[in-house]
Amino acid sequence: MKSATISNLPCNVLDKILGSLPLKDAVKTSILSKGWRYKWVTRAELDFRSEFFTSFNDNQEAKKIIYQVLRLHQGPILKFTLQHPNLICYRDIYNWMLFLSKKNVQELTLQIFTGNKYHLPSYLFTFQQLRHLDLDMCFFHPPPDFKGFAKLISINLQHVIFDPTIFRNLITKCPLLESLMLTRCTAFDVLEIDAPNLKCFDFLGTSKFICFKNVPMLKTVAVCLNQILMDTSTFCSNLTKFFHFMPSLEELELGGSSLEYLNMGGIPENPPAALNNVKSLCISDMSFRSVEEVSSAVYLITSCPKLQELTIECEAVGIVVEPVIQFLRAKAISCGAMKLLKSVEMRYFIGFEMEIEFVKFILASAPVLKEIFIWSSGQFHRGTQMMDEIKQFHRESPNVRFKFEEM
Amino acid sequence: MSSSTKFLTLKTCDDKKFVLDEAIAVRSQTIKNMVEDDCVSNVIPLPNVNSKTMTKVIEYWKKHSEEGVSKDVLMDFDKAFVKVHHSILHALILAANFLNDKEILDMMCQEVADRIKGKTPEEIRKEFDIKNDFTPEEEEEIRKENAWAFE
Repeated sequence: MKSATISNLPCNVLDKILGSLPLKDAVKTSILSKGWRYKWVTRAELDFRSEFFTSFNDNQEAKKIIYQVLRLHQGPILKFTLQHPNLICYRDIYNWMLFLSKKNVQELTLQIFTGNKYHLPSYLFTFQQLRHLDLDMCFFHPPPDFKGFAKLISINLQHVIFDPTIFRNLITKCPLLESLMLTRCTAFDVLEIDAPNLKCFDFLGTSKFICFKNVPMLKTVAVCLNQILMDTSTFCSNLTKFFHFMPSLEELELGGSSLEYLNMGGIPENPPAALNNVKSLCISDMSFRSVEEVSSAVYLITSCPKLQELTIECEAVGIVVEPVIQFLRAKAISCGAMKLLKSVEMRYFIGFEMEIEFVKFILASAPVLKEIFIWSSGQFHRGTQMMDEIKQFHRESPNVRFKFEEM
Repeated sequence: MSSSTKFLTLKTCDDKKFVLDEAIAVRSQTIKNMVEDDCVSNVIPLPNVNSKTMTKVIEYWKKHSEEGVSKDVLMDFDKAFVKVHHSILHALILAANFLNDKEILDMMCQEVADRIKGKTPEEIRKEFDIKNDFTPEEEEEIRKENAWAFE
């Protein structure tokens, strides 16, 4: 019988143990005994983050070690992470990707800030086992014969430049895609999302036009538009087109100029069916400056019959805009619209008149409200007095817990 | 105890029998599969697990199935649970691997990793009774090959 030492553990267990050690400690086990000599070389995850790089005197030394580790490595590498703020030479990245192209990589993260964006090597587009792809600061130009990533489940692109016309093709060629994140990438003229398995979409950037064309599974959407690019060809409502077909939507977050964008072309009489199942709504960068913006926010809130959680991120507006106040007062009378709303969070709340009117409107319209959490990143305007005022407002729900916090 | 409680009998390799609530025993994916596939007659043999190890495993299962036990209590329990001689650690890992209990397996593997992390090769050999079968020349060669890791 073998002796009871960890050296005799089954391979799957040893891989697990070595995999949860930092690379350096794993490599050090090669000297324990002959049995341990090559155990670490089948490590399925290689993780070169900033902590790895900073443990060396300079980048050259760290790069030399990456080459050496890759040279000794055997078997598949399921997960590869390269994350470093100033890795200058893209030739190294090319060499490493070439090496990885034979390793059946499933998860790939390349977050390298070279100052200049680099072109992704063409062989990256042949990684057929990819399930998660995370890229930053590069040019994403698939070769003409790109067949897609048949197994890709999530893609996260930040500061990535691509030809917007390939985008649709890319989505079509990744049939299993469930999560798509685009952060400050190429600006779009038209962003049409047609992805049968997509569950989560997160967009921060610029597009003249956004349409969720066919996304039957889409559950979570966050759209933050940097700016509105006027498209004079808009005749019908952006709102109708935006929510074209997304029957599974449950969580919606709108930021930047998204509200203003949705407002263009007028608001339809019948709210989009896509809002029917929304449980959580977050409006960030909510400006109480314009009646249009406040009315479209109120329109969205009251068009989600199943809304349970509402978050509003207030943008400080010091002046009093009388039409906004009048609008909110009028809305507060036609109450009872938010039948299921349970909790409300008001972020970056200061206590200016329009913000207070908005809270009044919520309290008057939500019959089962349980909690309202109001916080400021600094100090409230008219602190205690303001809080007392809010607590005195007419409220439809008998049991509302008020929580105020200055952070 | 409700009358519908079902019991399973587990038999370890040293012929000891353990009678256990089915709801607890199915923390083992291996046993769960057997129950679901209806392959359970009277006694489930566990040819790879001895009674001493099984006692420890059941102690863990019972603690983690208790109702109303706080997270802090469980954390303290787990901390004490892994502080054992490496030979017991070894047996528990093999048992958890055979029983396919990911929770125990992960926890034990993490413990082994924690005992390796940051230690010198000599310290690790001592901790786990690993015999160094390299000649000094071979050892020097490996040190050179991966010099960066030994700095």
